[in-house]
Amino acid sequence: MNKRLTMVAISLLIIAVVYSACAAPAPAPAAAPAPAESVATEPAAAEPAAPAEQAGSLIDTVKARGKLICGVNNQVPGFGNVDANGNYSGFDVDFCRAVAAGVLGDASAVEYRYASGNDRFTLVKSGEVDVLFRNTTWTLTRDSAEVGMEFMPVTFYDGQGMMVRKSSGITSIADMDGATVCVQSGTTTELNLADVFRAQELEFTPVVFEDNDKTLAAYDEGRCDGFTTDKSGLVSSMTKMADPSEHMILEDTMSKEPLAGAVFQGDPAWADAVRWIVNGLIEAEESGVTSQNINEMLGSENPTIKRLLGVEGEMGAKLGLANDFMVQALTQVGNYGEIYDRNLGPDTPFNLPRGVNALWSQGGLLYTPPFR
Amino acid sequence: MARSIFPNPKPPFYRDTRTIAVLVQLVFLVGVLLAGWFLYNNMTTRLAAANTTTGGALSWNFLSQTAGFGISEGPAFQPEESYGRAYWVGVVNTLRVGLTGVLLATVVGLLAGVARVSNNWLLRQLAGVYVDLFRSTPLLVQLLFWYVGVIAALPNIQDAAELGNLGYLTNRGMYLSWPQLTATGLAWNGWLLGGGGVAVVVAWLQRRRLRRSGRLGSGLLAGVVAGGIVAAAGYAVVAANATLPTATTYELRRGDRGTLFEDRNGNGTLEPAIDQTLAHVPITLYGAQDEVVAHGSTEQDGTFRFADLPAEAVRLTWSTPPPLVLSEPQRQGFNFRGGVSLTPEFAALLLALFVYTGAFIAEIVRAGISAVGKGQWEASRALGLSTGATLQMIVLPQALRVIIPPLTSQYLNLVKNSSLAIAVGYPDLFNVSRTIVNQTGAEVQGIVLVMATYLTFSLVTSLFMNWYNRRVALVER
Repeated sequence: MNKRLTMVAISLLIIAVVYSACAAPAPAPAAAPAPAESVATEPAAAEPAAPAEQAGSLIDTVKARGKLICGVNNQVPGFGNVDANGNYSGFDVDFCRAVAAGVLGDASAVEYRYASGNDRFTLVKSGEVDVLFRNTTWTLTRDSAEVGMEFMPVTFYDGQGMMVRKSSGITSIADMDGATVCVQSGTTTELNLADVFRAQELEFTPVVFEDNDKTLAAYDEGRCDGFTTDKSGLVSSMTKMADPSEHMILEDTMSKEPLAGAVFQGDPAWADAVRWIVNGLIEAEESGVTSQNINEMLGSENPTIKRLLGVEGEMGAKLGLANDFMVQALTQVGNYGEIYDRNLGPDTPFNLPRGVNALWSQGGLLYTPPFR
Repeated sequence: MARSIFPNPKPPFYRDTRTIAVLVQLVFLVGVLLAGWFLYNNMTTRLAAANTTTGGALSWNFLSQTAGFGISEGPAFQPEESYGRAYWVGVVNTLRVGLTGVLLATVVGLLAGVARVSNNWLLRQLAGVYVDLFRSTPLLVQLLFWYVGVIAALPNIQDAAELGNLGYLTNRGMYLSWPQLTATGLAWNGWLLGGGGVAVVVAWLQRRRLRRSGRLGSGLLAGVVAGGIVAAAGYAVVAANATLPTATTYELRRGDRGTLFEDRNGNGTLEPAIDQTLAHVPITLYGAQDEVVAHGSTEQDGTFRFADLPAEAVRLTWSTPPPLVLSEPQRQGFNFRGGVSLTPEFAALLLALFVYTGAFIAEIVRAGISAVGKGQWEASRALGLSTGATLQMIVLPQALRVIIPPLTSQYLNLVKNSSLAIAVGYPDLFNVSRTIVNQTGAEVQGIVLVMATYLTFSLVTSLFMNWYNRRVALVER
C-alpha cells in the first residue's frame, strides 16, 4: 500500500517536472528582448515573467511571440465575422491583419479572439489581446483611466440607428413611445437608447442580450418593436434575418459613433506603432498607393510617398518597427479604400456608400497627421 | 521491565507521522499563500500600469454615478439613477426568481419524489421519466429550450392569444387581469394586516385545542375563516368611507400622458401625486367644448397615459374608486398596460430553474423516504393508519432528517444557477453587474461585489436550513 502511494507521488512529481519543462520555453522568448537582469537572480520561473512584461512594450512581446492577438467581433458580417471554417473576415479584421503585417511582416500571423461587448475592455486591460478592433465607439469614459483604453484613429464614422417592422407604422423614433427595444449589453447603443428616449420624454422597455446574434434573433421573433445598434451593424444584421424585406431602418441617427481600434493605456510605444499603421493605411489612399501599384510607387519621387514606404526618413525605426512596415501592410492588406471596398463596398451585399468615411479631400472626415 | 527490541525507540523526525502531518500542512499553506500573493501582485501591477493617474487604487465611487441605461423589469428604475441602485434592482430580480424557484422546486420535487415511490404504476413511471429527462440534460440547454423553443413560439403581440377573461398570452409575455388596491384601498391594508394577525392567533388556539383533545389538524381552516371575516368587515368599512379630493382643472404634460394633481395643503395649489396615493383612479378627460375626450384610469404610480388622443384635452375629473379593482390588461400603443405581466425572460428562467432543480429534489425525497425502515410502514398500517396519514405523520418526519442536508445544496444551486439569466437577457444581479463593469471599468470591484452578494445569499440559506435541520433532527437523550 505504502509503496503504491510512493509510486503515485513519484509519478506526479515526474509529470510536474515534465510539465514545467515544457511550459518554460513559452514565457522565455517573451522575456528575452526585455532587459535580462532578473533571469539570473530569480529562481522561480513564473514570477519574473510578469514584471518583464510590464517593463517592456507589447511591440517586443508581439515580435517575440511572432503572432498578434487581436480582439474582434465574430457576429457582424462586413466588420468582424467568422465563417463555417473558422476563418475571420471583415473590415475590422483587415485592420488586425494590417497591424500584423506592419509589426511582424506577415498579415496572416494573427490569432483572433472573440471579444464580447461586455468583455472587450477587460481583455485589453488584462493583456489577453494585444489590440482591439471590434466596432468599438471612442468615448471619454473608455479613453479615461477609469476604463483604461488608448484609442487609435477612427476607422469608421458611424451613427446609431433603429430597425423596425414596416408593418408597425413607425416612421421615426418619436412614434416609439412605449415600445420594447432589443439592444446588446455593454455598448454605447444601450446608453444612447436611454438618452434619446429620455430626451424626447418617451417611455421604452429595453430587452438586453449578451451578444449581437441573440439580440437580433429576439427582435426577429417579435420580442421587440425595435432593434438598435450602429447603422452599419443594422445593415450588416439585415443580411442575417429571416425576411429582410419586412424590416426597415429609420432615418433617425441617434448618436455619433466613431468606431476605432483600442490598445492598453499604459503602453505608449505600442499605441504609437498601431496608431501609425492605421494612419498609414489612410495616408496611402490619399497618396494613391495601393496593393496593386506599390512596386512602381517604391520608385516614386514624391517625398510623402517615400517616407510612407520607408524609402527615406527612417519612419519605421522611430516607432520600433521595420522601415518598410507600411510596404508590408499595403502589399498584404491594401490601403484604407481597398479595405473598405473589399468588405463594405459596391461588390459586397452591404454596398455602404463611403459617406463621411471618404477622405477629407473628397468631402469626408478621414484626415491623417503628416508622415514626417 | 522489558527492553524495547528496537535499537532506537524514537524514530527520526522525518518518519514521525505527527511531524509529517504538520510539515505537509505547512507546505500546502505556503503554496496557497504564494499562489494568492502571485495573483494579487499580478493584479496590482497591471492595475498600476493601466491607471497611471489613480495609481491603481480600487475606488467604489462608481456606485454613486449615473447609470444611464435602462432595466427591463424589477423595481422601477430610471436611467438617471445610480449604478448602485441599478445593482440593487439586479439583486431584487435575483431574489425574485430565486425565492419563487425554490418554492416551486420544493413543491414539484416533493410531489415527484413521493410519486416515485407510489403504488400507482403510471404515476411512478411518469415521475421517473420526468426525473431522468430533466436531470440528465444541461440546465443552459433547457433554459434556451424554454425561451427559444416554447415562449418565442407563442403568438405575436398583434394576434395575442386570449385566455378567456383572464388575460393574454404572447411571445412578449403573459398579461393577466389582477385585483389591485386603488387610492382608497390603501386604508384596507391595515385591516388586511389585522386579519392576518387574527388568523394566526385563531389557528394557533385551534391547533392547541385539537392537540389537547388528541386529534390531528393544524387549525388552518379556522384561522383562514377568522381572518377572512376581519378582512371582509374591513373592506365594507373602507368602501363606505372612501372619498377622494377632486380637481377640476388640469393641464396635460404631453398631450397623451400625465400625473394626477391634488390640493394637498388645502391652499389651492395643485401638486403632483406620484407617491402611489392615487393608484387606479378612474379619470375622464374633457375637451374645450366640455365634450368627453377619453376615459381611463391611473396606473399603480399615479400616472396615466392615453395613446393617440384625438384632441387636446383641457379639463380632467376623477371619481372615487372602490378599494379594490380588477385591473385588466389593455392594448395601448405597442404593449399591454394594466394587470400584471410575466415577461418571457422571467418565465423561461423560472421554468428552467424549478423544473431542473425539482428533478434533483425528487430524487432526494425518494432517497429520504426509502431510508425510513420498512417496519415503520408496517407498524403504521398495523395501527390502521391510511397511506397518506402514514406518509404525513410517520415517514416524512423521519425522512426529513435525511432530506434536509442535500436539499440545502439544491437550494444553493438554484440561486447560483439563476446567474444563467444572462443567456436570456433577464436583468439579474450578474447580468446588471456585467453592464456596470463594462461601463465603469471596475472589473475587480464588480466581481468582488457579485461574489460577496452570492456568498451572502448562500450563507443565509445555509444558516436557515441548518437551523431547520437541527429542529427536525433526532434529539438524543
